[in-house]
Amino acid sequence: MDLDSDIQMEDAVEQTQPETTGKETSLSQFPINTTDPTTQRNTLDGWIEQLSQCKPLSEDSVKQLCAMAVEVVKGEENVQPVQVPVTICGDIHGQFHDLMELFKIGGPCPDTNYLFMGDYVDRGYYSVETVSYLVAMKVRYPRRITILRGNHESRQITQVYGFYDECFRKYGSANVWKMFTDLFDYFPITALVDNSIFCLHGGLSPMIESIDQVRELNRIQEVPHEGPMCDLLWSDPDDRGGWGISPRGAGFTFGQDISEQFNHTNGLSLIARAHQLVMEGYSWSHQDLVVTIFSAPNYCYRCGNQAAIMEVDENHNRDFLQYDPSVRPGEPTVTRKTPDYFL
Amino acid sequence: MSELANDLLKKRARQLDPPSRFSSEEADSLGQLPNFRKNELHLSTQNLPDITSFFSQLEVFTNDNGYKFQTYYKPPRNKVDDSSVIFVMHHGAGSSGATFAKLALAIETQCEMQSICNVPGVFTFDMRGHGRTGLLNSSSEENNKLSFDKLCDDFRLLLQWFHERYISEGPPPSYFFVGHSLGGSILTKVISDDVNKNVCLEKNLGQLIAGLVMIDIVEDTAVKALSAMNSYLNATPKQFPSIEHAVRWHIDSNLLHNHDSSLISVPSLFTRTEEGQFKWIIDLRKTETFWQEWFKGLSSRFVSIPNRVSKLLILANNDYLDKDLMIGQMQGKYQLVVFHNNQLKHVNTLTTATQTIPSEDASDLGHFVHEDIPFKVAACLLDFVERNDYSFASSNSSSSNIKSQVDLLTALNAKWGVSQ
Amino acid sequence: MDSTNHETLKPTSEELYPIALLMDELRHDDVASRVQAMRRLDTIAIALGQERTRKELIPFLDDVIPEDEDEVIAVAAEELGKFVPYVGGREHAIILMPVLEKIAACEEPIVRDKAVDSLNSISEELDEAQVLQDFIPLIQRLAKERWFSLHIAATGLFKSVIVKVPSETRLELLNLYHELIQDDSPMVRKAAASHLPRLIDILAKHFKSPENINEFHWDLITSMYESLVNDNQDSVKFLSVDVLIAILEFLSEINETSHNEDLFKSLITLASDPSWRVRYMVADRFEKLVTSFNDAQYTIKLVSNLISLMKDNEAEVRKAIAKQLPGVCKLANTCDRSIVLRSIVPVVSQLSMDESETVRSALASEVTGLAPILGKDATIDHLLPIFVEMLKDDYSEVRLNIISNLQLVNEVIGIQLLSESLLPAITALANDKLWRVRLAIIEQIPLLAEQLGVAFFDEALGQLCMEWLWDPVYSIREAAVINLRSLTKNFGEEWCKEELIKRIETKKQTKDFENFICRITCLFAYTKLIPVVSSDTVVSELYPLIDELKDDHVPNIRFNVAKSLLVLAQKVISINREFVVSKIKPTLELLCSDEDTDVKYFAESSLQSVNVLLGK
Repeated sequence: MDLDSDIQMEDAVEQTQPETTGKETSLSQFPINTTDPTTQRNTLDGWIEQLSQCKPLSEDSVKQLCAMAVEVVKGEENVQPVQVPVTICGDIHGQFHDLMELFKIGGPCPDTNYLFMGDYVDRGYYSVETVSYLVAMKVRYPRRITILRGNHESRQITQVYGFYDECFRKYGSANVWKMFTDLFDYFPITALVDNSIFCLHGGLSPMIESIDQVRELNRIQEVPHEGPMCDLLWSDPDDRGGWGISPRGAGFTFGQDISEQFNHTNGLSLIARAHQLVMEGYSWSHQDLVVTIFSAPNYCYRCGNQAAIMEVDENHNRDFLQYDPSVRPGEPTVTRKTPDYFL
Repeated sequence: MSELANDLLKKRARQLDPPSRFSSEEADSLGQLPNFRKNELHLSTQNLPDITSFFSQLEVFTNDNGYKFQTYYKPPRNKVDDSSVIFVMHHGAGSSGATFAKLALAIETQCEMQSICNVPGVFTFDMRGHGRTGLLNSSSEENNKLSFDKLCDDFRLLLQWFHERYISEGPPPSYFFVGHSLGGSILTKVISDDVNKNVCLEKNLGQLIAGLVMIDIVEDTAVKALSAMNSYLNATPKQFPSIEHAVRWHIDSNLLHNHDSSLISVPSLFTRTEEGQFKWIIDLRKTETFWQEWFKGLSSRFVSIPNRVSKLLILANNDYLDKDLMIGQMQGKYQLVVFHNNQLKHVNTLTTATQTIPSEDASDLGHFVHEDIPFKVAACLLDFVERNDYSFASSNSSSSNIKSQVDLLTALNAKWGVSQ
Repeated sequence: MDSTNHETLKPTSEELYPIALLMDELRHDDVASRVQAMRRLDTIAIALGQERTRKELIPFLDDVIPEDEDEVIAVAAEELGKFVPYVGGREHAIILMPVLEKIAACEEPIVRDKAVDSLNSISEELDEAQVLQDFIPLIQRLAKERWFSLHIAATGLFKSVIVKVPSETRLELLNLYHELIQDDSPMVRKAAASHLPRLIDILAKHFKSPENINEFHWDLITSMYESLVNDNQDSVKFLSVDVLIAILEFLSEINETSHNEDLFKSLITLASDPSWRVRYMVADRFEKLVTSFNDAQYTIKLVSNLISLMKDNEAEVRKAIAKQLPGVCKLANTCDRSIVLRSIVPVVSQLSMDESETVRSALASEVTGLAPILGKDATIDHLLPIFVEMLKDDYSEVRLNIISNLQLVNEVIGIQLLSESLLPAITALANDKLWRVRLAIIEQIPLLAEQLGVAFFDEALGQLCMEWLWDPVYSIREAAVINLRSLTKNFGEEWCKEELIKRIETKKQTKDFENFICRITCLFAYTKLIPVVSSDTVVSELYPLIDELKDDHVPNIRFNVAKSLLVLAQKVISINREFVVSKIKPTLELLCSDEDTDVKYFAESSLQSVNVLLGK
């Protein structure tokens, strides 16, 4: 049957069996002496080097990495303070090569500071490499990169949209998936850039009128299916005023009147959020009170959208950098069984 | 009832669907090589269920063109003053109204278990050339004229007839359209035509449509699958010696996975020949000229329906979305539920899932997901109604002022001092 | 393999436990687990030993596999291909064939192909008697069954045995293949056609000497080719192009030219076939076809076909032929020195304005390859205008492909001429909205600079090179820094002070310097310059800014200062040790107590290295 006649690209070769050779193995055979910062840094630098070539870590290394990452992110706040200058980024969704493109555009970390607003996994073919890379960077340079939680950093969602399957495919078991989803529970849910830009994955919640109320939440848990924490990761701005039911099935929609009130109450200049695909990579709404940033170009290898990141300099000037998918042989076409019956 | 008790009941209700048929056998030692043929099914078709035990009102709608459509209706059960919710369901090609029988029953059961006092009604019918509608028109050439426009016209006629026949008095109901496969495409087109004022529904019926649910249909996948349809149909037996054989074939070929459901849905697909064989009522090959138009433009049409009509897409075991659906989903234009084959024995996912409902026995579900796991689909539909029908009173608890979404939104907006 | 070897591997009872687990996995409800287990089928076989593998495992698989999911069957099919040693070597190899035969009947092409591959590798192990007794009947059975899927499987099995069998069997087999080439089902004809070139190659390799050339069965082969050329399905017909190439290669090998005229005629027919797929195939294999005829008269004749394919209605065809241009032109040029310029280049010019952007893009990646063929004068007169136009193309990939391949042109006409004619286009592209186009231009700059000389360069490109430093895209800024370093190497230190450092110092006075990106770029630029200028210049011109930035309020700048100071120390240590001790070391020590952990880290590691330097 010629149903999936898309040409298999070079990239499609399943080369991503976790490496168990060379330096990486010799390091991961011993548990890291976490009290020795030099060893830890060297190990992390080795991992980052390996991951930057899109080669996943061994299961053992992921285990150590997640253990270190928990220590780093659990100390962060629900509303993590972030200094300027910083470059703010939206959804990545496992598009590893496009993440590398992002760093080519915005500059490498740690020279450039980054704030990612969630959705690192699912849909793309390299969720494991993407999230491992970002988490390794976070552990290595905790002050230079902030990673928030998106609605896809959840056990339930990842079981449906690919991360679970990818872990299973690449590691032969769900262990790595479990390590990462356990880690996700500790990710901060919002960030506040220089007391002025409120950053989060989804949007506002009717239960949250002031940023202090976010600080009071108990965030260390699976993303609940309703309530303020769910809303922060799920809501969308809308042209209609007031609060509305979200067509997504979770969270709310909020109108310009709500954004005005929230920004005024909390002395904010802007709400920066991700979560929605926008064809130009970024999009203003509510008369520049809210900006949507989406950083996965040609989302899911078929949507034809541009991606963008937002640079905020030390004087709060904002610059948007748009970009297209990275140049490379192409992404694998997933061999998908077409159903027998479809009438 | 306490929240906890309520949750527990919901959970129990959601687990009503039959467990996996293939229990794993005792582990054999290496000594005997196992014979792991799937257990033979022992099908019983001794007492086939009667369609009237699912739908109390069976009527034939006739019109000027000489059509006689078999319709099925299970009326809503309401408190006197409340407006009702009615699911209008449209089956796909090669199926029949009976495909929704178990789902209709499951909706009622779910309501009882979740203490929902206003039980939604279910209306459905056999489309032209199918089911009992087919039998009544067996001599007519029109049976195989399944052009997309004709199918949409048929549905508009039926909806208007239904509304006049059963509803016209009392408070106007909220209609939730539920279409499986081709049925989903037809319902999307009807709503889209009404919204865009191409072809409007009479009597402003369009205003009463609160939601649209498509079950397992993605344009891109459907169109690609069409090229394989002929070889699929050619490989299908032309007739069966008995209904039991037909049911067994549906189960064995993995088309259906729920024996109970198949006992009610499969018999309605067959007619008895003079030789006593059971042959298909509809020969889908004769409808091939229409296949392309059935699905063309479906995804962009679905996504473009304004948010006034809430939209839900239910998929079975496959989360593939085409470009239009993908962009629509990533822009939050509709809700997506994937009943997914989940390898984890993760017990709690059912009660906490928001967008997705992984289910333990998903390996036993497929394209006819509403037949395979009717209770889970019913729960999903009720959640959708509860969320999106602003006036639907989901609970009879008198302790809270907030009974429905409209109350909740009013309270929230009042708290923020804004009006919607 | 020694058949007793594996018997010794029979497991002890402790080892049985994981094997039992594996067997369980084979029966698991979940497909992924069964796939995993199937991948370790060899482990099970080794554990069972050869006899039980034959008597139990194979019948078990035979019973169970055809019922399973395609993913599982595919893996099983693959594994069974390696199973000969596990069932007891060659004498028992045929026991594997029935189950693979069943799998080969599968309609899923991936599964079927795996089974066919495995059957082929098993056939390698068989001796002639076994082939005749078991393998040939298998092929015949598959080919005679009344189901297209089996016929397809059969087409894949001939190649492994065709030269192994006696003459009369070979004739039978080829006759059978001939039937498959004319099968009722297009899918079968397609499969047979796609395996035919390989089959011809194998026959050609073995039967090319005068004494056994009859075994090639020329009449049968050409009759199959005829049949394919005249097939009514274009999806079958287009495969005949590869068959033609295989036949031509055989003829060329045996120096036989008497059939060329007929074959050439059939090629002409294919090249103008009403179906674009067929024409596409001819276009895609054009250079190969010309080479296979290996005859100047046909090469010259084919130029007119080349030209009509370049003017084809279908963009895919034009794209394919554009890719063949340098190769074909080179061949044509050896037969007739003027034909490329006279006949082909005018059409290339048309093609460079093709309505399809993918055609133009394909042409752009190849067209510079014509320069070496045409030589200097013709390139200047006829190709350069085409390049200039293509550099202005709306579609960025076209521009990028031309720029990336300019080196070839440079070798032919020299940079002076190239830059003069292309400079306006290059300047325009320096601000292209696609950053990769800008990057490609920057990468050409050092080459241009070397050839143009300082004066002309500064005038034409100097300003441009500085502007790239302030590009919004990091990679462009980075490339600009590296570019400026190469220019400094080329033009010398004075140029660097005058054109570069002065301009950066001017930038420092502007409001732009309040932006962190501007400051860090200046810092990167200075750091990169350190190794290529004198120590005096480093201390007097570069150090002040670096030193000033040690107090920057952005930590990222401060830790880059720490990195930069190490580079600085490495440069000046040999002639100005005092400077390292009195200036660099104290600054690093200060940064070691910075409040930011990253500044601390990079300062500490620089300081450590500086101490090592001083310790020498």
